[in-house]
Amino acid sequence: MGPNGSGKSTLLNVLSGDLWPHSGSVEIAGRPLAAWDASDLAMRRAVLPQNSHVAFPITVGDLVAIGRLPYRHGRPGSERAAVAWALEAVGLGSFSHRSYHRLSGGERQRVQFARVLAQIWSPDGAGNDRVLLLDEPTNNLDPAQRLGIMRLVRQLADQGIAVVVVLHDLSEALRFADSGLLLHCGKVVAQGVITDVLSPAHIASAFEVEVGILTDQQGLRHVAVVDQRRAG
Amino acid sequence: MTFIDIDAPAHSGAARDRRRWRVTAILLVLAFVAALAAVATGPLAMSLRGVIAWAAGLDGSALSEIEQHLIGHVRLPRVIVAILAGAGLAISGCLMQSLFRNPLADPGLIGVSSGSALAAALAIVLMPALPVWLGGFAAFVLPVAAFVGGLVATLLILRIAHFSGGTATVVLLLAGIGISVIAEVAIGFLIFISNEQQLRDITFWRMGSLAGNGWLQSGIIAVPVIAIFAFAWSIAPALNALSLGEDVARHLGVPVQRLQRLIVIAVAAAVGTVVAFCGLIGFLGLVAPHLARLVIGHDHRWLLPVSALISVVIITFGDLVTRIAVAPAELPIGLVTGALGGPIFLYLLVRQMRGAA
Repeated sequence: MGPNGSGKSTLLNVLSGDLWPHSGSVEIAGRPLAAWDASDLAMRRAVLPQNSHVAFPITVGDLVAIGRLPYRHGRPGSERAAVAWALEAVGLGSFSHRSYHRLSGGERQRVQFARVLAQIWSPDGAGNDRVLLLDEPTNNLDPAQRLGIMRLVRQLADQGIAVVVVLHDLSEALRFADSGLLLHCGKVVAQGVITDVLSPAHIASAFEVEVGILTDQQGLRHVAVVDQRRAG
Repeated sequence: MTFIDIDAPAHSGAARDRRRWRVTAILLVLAFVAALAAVATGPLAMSLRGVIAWAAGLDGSALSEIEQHLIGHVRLPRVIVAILAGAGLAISGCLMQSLFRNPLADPGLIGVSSGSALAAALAIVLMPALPVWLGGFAAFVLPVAAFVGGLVATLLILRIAHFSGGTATVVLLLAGIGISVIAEVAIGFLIFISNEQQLRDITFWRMGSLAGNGWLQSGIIAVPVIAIFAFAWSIAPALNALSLGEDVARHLGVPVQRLQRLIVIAVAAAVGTVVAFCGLIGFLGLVAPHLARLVIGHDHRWLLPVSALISVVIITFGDLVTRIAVAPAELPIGLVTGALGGPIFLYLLVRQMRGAA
């Protein structure tokens, strides 16, 4: 988490190997990214970019099936199962034959999410140390869809998949994340258990706003912005 | 999360596959008919039945000796060149459109056409200055020059893109435009200093022709065309991923940079060879993949063969038209493919802009 321009997406790009860090290294399962075979890595780790532009007419099912590219020499039939499962998971089970370009922005976002899910789907359903990197997966979504996607993300994490999510909504982060990293101008403001990271003091220094943390009747915590922080 | 009945989408998927097979079968029949018609038609018309009987080896005496000679040495190799050129241009078009993630991309974008055109114009203008000892090889000066010109232009563009950091497609595109402008200026200068006959030669070369191609030319064109088809086919799933974006493809394990370079080189070799022997044949590489996409969708495992077949049908029928429209003279093939391709292109453009594609 962090304000616009704080380096959230840059960090995710480093984690996904799109950018190389000046120092340090990114490791998955104890192996540096560069040491991974590209296909093996793709079976282990999936990335959802913030914006996806699709230039050609394509059906939803075909687009999601592209996520199975690393497994093209695998068991026949698993592609269909993975696509069906992924579309069902994002609530678009009946959309397989629809044209991607005729969907709303929110639906497109969910289709892209399904593509990423199909990529890490395995027939036994286990997490198997898989890694999911998501850059603002709830962009363009209405509140109900946001909740659906974040619940799904939480379920995936509970299955043993390591999920790294860039989020704008701090209340969502408080509700669904285990641990967090708060950035400001490319520097780490706080990291660790999410409730510690998103303390009013940390949020104030990262976002330059004064906030209150409210707890509702169900025990869920929400971040409420009170005012802009005054200089000095 | 629940698993759903996976048979439902499978059923509709099977229906779509049936449709794709049907389209492929229809195109194969059309291509075959076009090829037969092209062999049978011309200033010396032959009976279609005789041609079929002769081709199937049923009745060697169905055609006169002259007719057999004409088919064996002139018309058949010319049809095969048409088929190879059509397929090569269409496959190159598919590859370019995936590479640039733009359905309006054309093989000419990487400078191969303009490089070839410049070298061809140079060869035509300098032909009188060639040493006499070249003798029979003089006929190959033009195709060799065109091929080398296309390849040099493309390598130059790759180099520029590399200098500017990787093979970012935007840089490739802009470098291609820059090179094309320079080539056009040079061609303009060559036209300025050329005599009447050279001017005519340059103009006709730029409108394309399948005339004068025999078995040797078919054999030479077959090599890069078969190679590019095998290459494109082997990377079809990666092409599907590449059309979603370079990042997406990379995250799916596709070696994007290496693939981009290979695509550019394969297209330069295939288009360069076709252009070398047939001149510039516009619009096929652009329109054929587009039409194929409308009928069978964007999956490259189907898109590649179906684009090639559509292109083959267009160019073979087109060649037929060039030979009979103003017989005994011949229209340039580029005029016919352009006359077909231009309106189709505009129709597709409008359709796409209206969001119907």
